[in-house]
Amino acid sequence: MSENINVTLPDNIAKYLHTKSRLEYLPMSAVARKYIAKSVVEEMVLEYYRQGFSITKLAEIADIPIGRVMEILRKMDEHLEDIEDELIEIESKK
Amino acid sequence: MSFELSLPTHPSATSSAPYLASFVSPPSRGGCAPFGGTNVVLSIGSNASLFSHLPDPKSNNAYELVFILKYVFRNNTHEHFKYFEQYIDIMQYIVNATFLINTIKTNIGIIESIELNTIQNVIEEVETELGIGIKNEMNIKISTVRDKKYKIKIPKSKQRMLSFTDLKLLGIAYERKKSCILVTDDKQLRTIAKHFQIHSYTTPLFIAFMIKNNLISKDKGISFLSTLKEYYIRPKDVVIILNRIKKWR
Repeated sequence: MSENINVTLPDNIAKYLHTKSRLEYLPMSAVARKYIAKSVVEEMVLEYYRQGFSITKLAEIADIPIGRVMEILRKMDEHLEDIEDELIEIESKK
Repeated sequence: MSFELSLPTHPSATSSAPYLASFVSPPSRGGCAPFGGTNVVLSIGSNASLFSHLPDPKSNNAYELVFILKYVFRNNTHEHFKYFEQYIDIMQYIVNATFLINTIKTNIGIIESIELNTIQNVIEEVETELGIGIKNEMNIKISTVRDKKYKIKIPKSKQRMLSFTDLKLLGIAYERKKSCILVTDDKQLRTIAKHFQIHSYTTPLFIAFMIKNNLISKDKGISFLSTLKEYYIRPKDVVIILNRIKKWR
């Protein structure tokens, strides 16, 4: 299923899409679709992740590979809060 | 026969040494050389004598026992080990797709030395993602756990945030929580696992665990983590663990 949406783009963006369209031998609509899909998927993954969705669930929802979800989440640059405690536990269990 | 073993201690278990000593040391059962720490020299007279002294399957010590027996029977037939698996019905490392994808991508043979457990869905997820047959084309020892209805009760509000695969993995890990480690890089999955007292490690933490328990060498672990850092979901974690591991003797 797909839906037609008419959007008005600023000149600079439209110009860039024209250039890309010529370079990639693709219609401008295809180039625009590619960029929109990429940004929306990233936005969606980050938003749902913050809400508490798991990685495999996100891959299902966004219909992208698990590796791609992890790649997007890498941009958040987060770290585990309990990593030091976990390491201490591993060290003490030896 | 005698075997030199290096035993990883399950995070939730207390020291297994006294228990193991009581299990294998009486001369009538073959005898056991003195041991300390995690290095054990085990001598057994015959396989049959061990079969009659199995511990309580629900105890933490069952984990160590299976680990020993895997070594004991490594050079023997697979049938021996199957016997114990059926009796004790226990697992060690339950992994999900994030862990497998991360370890396979690095292309450093880190998981060949251990036996992993998972479910068929995970195998399919990884095979689709990487376009390779894990069981047939790779040198990984991975067993799939049979499917059944699990007792874990996850609230509906949380269930909708997890995939079918996540729910199944949690179900398996919950039933065996005293004797397994769930290895996943999914923060949300770990949070829920912890809520149900399931022990869980991320890939870098699991590597630290493996190094500490002599399942892999320190050099190999460092080499793996250095590669993993380049694309891992939380690179800061890898840096923290790498720095810590480098200080280990």
